[in-house]
Amino acid sequence: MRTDDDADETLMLRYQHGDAGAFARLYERHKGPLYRYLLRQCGQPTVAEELFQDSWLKLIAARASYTVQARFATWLYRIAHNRLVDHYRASARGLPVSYADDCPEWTDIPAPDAVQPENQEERRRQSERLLALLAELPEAQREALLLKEEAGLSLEAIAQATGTGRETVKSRLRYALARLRQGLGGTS
Amino acid sequence: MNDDRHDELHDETIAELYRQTRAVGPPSWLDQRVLKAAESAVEPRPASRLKARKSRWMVPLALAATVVLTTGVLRMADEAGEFRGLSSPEPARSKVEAAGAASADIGNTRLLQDQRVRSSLPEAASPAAVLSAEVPASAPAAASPAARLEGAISRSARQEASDSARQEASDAALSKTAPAKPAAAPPQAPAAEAKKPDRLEKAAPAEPQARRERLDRSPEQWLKDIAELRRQGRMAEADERLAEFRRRYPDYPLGALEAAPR
Repeated sequence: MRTDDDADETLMLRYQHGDAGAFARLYERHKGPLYRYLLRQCGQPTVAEELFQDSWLKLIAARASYTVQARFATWLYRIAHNRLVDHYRASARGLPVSYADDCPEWTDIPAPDAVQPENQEERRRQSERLLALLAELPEAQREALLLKEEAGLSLEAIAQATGTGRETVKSRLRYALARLRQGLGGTS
Repeated sequence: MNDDRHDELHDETIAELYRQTRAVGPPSWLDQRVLKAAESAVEPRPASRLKARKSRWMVPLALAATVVLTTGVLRMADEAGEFRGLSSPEPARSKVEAAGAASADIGNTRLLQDQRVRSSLPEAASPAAVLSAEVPASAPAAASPAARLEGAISRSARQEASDSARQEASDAALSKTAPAKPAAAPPQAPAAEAKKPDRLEKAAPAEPQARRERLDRSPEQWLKDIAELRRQGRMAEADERLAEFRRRYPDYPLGALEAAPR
């Protein structure tokens, strides 16, 4: 449980006043979800790294104008979303279909201790299948699902971060889950 | 967090499967790059602050220097007579005239300050134009307009019996030049011109103060003085002043003076 002193917004305000250590804590907290969000969306680690770095640099540059009007994560993912849209426009939305080929590190995913060896292989295959299905989703639906699962944003926060309406986000999420359930074939 | 009110939007199996894929993250070099950028953005940089302070003064300083330099150059050019040709109503003056005017401007400033010379020409005529009216355009450059003016003055000085030979010579020269260049200016033009600052006058301190003051007077005041002289019975002096006035303001109405007793 985070205290008020440890909240994202408090850390960002501290960084705004020159506390680089507060930024380091923020970065440590959000770097993984943000990176995965970008990686899933663009499909290429090199592009994801570029977008990831640009997003954080934009945040650093905009630190002076930061005000606590919404969750920090909403602000961060709003910046990342805008950068991603710029990337789509520049590259004519040339996303690769097969995500697993671009991410060999996924084969090294550690399995939970409770998983039995015979189930471990099955789980790994299902995760790979899930990632493949995720990569095949339309970008907007995939983005909504990633912001929910990775960043833990609510419907309202997703709507704010992506600049869409709440009902639109609901529709996208519902459609994405239906596609994934169908693709996994009875795993749900 | 996940919205509990929308369970139909949450699939725990899919979420569990997805959580197993979270091992991937940004490479360490990217972590270091971002953290370094964040640190350098907030760390104090006294050198750059000093530079910023300097650059803050650069623009106003440059503007002030520009204004000072421009003003100085303009004043110097104005005093050197660079702009006199621009104010002339006759744009197509020959170079010979301009050169003659320049040399006369320097060498014969005492004559130039006589405002009657200017009054015999159209309004706003520059000193250069005044002198060029005396000097033909085809005159050789060696015979400067100043020399010609001096000659005219010396010739007419012999005809006048007045207080100062130099002053009267100048008057006589004007009496010859005035008919050649009939004044087309309205009666108020000489008065307006008389009020203009004349740098040439400043350059001629030897001119008698009384005469300069008399020349600088308005036509109305001039006529009043003539009337006063007549009232005092100093008729010769009054007539002399009147003749001088007529040369200077040939078209000025003398109604008030005519009414005065002779």
